[in-house]
Amino acid sequence: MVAFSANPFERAYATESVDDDQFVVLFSPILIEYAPQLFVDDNVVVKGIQGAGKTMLLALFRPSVRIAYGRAGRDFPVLPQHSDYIGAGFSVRRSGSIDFGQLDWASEAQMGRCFGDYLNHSLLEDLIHSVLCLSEAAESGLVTGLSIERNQRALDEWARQLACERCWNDAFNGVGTLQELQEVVKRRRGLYRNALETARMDVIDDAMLKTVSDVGEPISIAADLLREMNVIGPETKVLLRFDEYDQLTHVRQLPAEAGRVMQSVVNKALGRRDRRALYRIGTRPYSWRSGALPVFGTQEMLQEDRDYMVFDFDKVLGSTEHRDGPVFRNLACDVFRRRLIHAGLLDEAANPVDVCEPFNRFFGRSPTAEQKSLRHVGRTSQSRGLGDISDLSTDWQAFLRRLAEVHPLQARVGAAWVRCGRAEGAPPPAQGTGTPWGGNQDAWWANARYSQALIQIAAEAKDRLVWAGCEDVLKLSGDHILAFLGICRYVWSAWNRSADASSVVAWTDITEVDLNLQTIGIDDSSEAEYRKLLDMPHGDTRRNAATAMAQTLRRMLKEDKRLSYPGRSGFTLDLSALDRNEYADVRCFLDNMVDYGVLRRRDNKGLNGQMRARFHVAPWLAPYFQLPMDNGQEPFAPSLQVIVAWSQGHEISLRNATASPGQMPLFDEDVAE
Amino acid sequence: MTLRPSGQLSWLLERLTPSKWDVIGCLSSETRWNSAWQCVERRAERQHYLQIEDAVGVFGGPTAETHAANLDRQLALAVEVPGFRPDRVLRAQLLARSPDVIRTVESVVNKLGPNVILDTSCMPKRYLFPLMRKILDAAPDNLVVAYTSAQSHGDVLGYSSDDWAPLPLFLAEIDTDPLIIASVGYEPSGLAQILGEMPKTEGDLRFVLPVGTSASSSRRSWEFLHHVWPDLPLKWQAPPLRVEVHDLSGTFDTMRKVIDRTNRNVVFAPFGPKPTSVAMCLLASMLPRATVLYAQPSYYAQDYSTGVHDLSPGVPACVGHCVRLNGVDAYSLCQERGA
Repeated sequence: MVAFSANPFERAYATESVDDDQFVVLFSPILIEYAPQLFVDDNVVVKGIQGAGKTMLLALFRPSVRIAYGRAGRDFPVLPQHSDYIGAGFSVRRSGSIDFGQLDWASEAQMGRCFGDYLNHSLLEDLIHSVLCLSEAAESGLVTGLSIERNQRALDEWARQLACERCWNDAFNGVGTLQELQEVVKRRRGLYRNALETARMDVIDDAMLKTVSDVGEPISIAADLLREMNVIGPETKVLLRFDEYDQLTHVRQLPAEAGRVMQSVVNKALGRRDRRALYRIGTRPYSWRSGALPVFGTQEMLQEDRDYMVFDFDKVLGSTEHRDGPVFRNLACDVFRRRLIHAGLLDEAANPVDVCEPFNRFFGRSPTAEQKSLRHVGRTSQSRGLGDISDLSTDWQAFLRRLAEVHPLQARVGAAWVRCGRAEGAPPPAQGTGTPWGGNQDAWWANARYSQALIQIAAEAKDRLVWAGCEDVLKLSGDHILAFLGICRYVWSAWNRSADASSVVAWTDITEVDLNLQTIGIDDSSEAEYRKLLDMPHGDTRRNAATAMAQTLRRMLKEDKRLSYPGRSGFTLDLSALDRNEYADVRCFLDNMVDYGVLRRRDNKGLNGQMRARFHVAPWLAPYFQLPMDNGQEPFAPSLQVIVAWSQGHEISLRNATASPGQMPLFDEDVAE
Repeated sequence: MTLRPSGQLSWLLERLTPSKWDVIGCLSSETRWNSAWQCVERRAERQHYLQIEDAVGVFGGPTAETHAANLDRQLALAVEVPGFRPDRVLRAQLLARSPDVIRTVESVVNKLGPNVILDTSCMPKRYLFPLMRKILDAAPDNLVVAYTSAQSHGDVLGYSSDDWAPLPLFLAEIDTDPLIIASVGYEPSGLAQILGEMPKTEGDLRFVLPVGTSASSSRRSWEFLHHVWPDLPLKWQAPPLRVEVHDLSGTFDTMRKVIDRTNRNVVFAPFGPKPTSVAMCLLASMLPRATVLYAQPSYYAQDYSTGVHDLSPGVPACVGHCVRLNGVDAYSLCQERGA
């Protein structure tokens, strides 16, 4: 009997936090199908918000993960034509780079040069480690598709020749074997480490400063020599991971200027455009600003497509125009199926033909807005959702009350339709002849207001919004696989606690989980996401700001009885204004909120033809805040003071949100209703 | 077996040989900041008090002016404490660069006499750890570590925690198979940050849970565990090591036994009460490759703690622990291994 009480989503929450062996089972290769640019002969910047999966994707370049696939007897998920590579990596925090920038350097230039040297040595050390363990694994057949040979004599010769290269500035004089090279590299890294650990600059003496290597070049030469010595094949790529690029300017204990210099050193490595060794940079989206990426020691800036390519998680996963259909849906379905297989709830041998079948079976279809409204008001008191309509004429009151008995959502929208004057003084139609807002123009008008009307109906009924079904789950996941896993985890838990789960002995016994249970699970998941905002650096600040924003927006949506502003689940800002220097603080705050996955941002043309940035609370937080998701309608356009107040965690009274004397409003449209 | 005398600070000092002591502490808005001073006052040779200026908020939060006003207010109150010398107060920045923190603690340690009392009650860990290490390096004849319990703590203790980073002087490279020892406190968010990024394939984790605390403290400790627990791999969910909250000696030995069983590089995450942090600091100072990771709040709550827990009316629960006694370390790895 299958243990259906186990929650396949309970442990191993994300592939980022699992060990290599579990990674093999849980990682969905579907993601790689959509990321061919990750393996091109170019530098690639992997952009994604907190938890989007950057580290997970970059893990494919770790030798231990590749070997784990061999150990498990599974095919490495990277296409054979792309898999001839070895990797080496550098992690900003685990390497102590934050402390590097805190030392008492004589100048920024000295710090930059030494950081480049430290990076060279760290990457070289890891490259040697990769070569050794991958060549051994290849010899024993654990790794395939990689041209690599275990040849000690060739490696010794490689070490000897590498040590003679001028790029090291005689730092490796006298090295004749691989072991000697490893010792010299370790010793030099040790000196840097010693300086970091004791915060003493005198550890780095003049002799060391005179032999500092230029960032990037030595590692390219090392890669080239590996090919020349036939240790790796002539076409084997050397890919260098640099994760947490954004951390260099996010950590407050590291002076901001020092962080920027260190980033410019990394930029310099990319700016070399040296195909002998290629970089894979992991960063949050707004820490990587095209056009503002200075190259250390020069006046140049990095240029996209010339110096690097971008793999943007948000864009790739959000794509709906792929030949196989929406990318995120395919990924989510595969991840869902893999979790069930991993937990032993689904027999891999009897894989369903359709990858999406388990996901669809479990969640079912999402209810329509009309069905949701009926759940809010219950069977006996449908007119409860209509609210106070005493401001309308008695004819209309009677009509709407009758309508609310059957169609509470239509009645709520109808009340707003009349309040807006769209009835133009006409009496309500006779019973049984439909609603006057059913025509082409008005049907669109009504449709755009369903989500806002649902908020008001739920509030009148003192109920929480209903979220359920595949469509809702995918929308609430917001193309973010961690959020998706969180929803699955909590819905599964809610279902497990119910009597429905007790009779299930096989996967095929499962039918669509009850909507109420799904709503409970989704609410729990959203609350957990809200709590987790605190688990990130400066998370309390962002959480307070998000709460203030969401409460302001929700109040606007709830109090707008005419349903005049159905898009006010988010807010919009003029891009040209936002990019002005005097609003750098506001921009920085909003970028930070997006980078950490609290807000979602989409840029598009506003009603006036100007480019605008649209911000919404991340969809997975919408249930917690009881806000609808982005419905495409024109969002709220706040003033500068409103954004500043939100950033400080203050909910605002919109009627008082006017520009203070001497303070230019950020946008033409003011906020007072 | 080495004797590790500890007990109520006034009681302990009466039984130790030195008659004069250097006292190190930290000014604070907490009531307990001067409890140790009250116990020592007539035996004080010199006083060395730090006053730590919090950082401003990231977006909003208190400004530099607010912090400066708070510090001035603290100082004004301190002047009224009998025998307290406000001219001996050294101001420092909470988020100062590591070299600046180290310079600050060195300037204190360089002035110390042979007998030292370190009051840890209100000292931020960013300063406590390097200070303690430098004092240990200086090897005074006698070192007593003091801690005063508060009556209650605020709901929130610190704000705007920075990204996790090693504490000054406690940075070592983290291996792929570290042993992580995390003490359980009130605010789990910083630890959740750290654990989320530690290597899990071969790494190991043990929690240190302080017991013998009030019901509300105990509840908060368990809430802390419940917050971080669900996202951990199963093998990291071993039962926590229970230690008595004021038992520095027992806490040290409990952690040492876990460390003794492994050759792994040790990562400490001190999120619990000060006596546990002191035990971690002692161990991290003795181990050849230990890292202490912490997510440092940018600023602390004004009501971080209120009141002083009294043993009896007018007698604050200020406990002292001898760390060095008559030139001999009361705590050491080798000695304990042989014991």
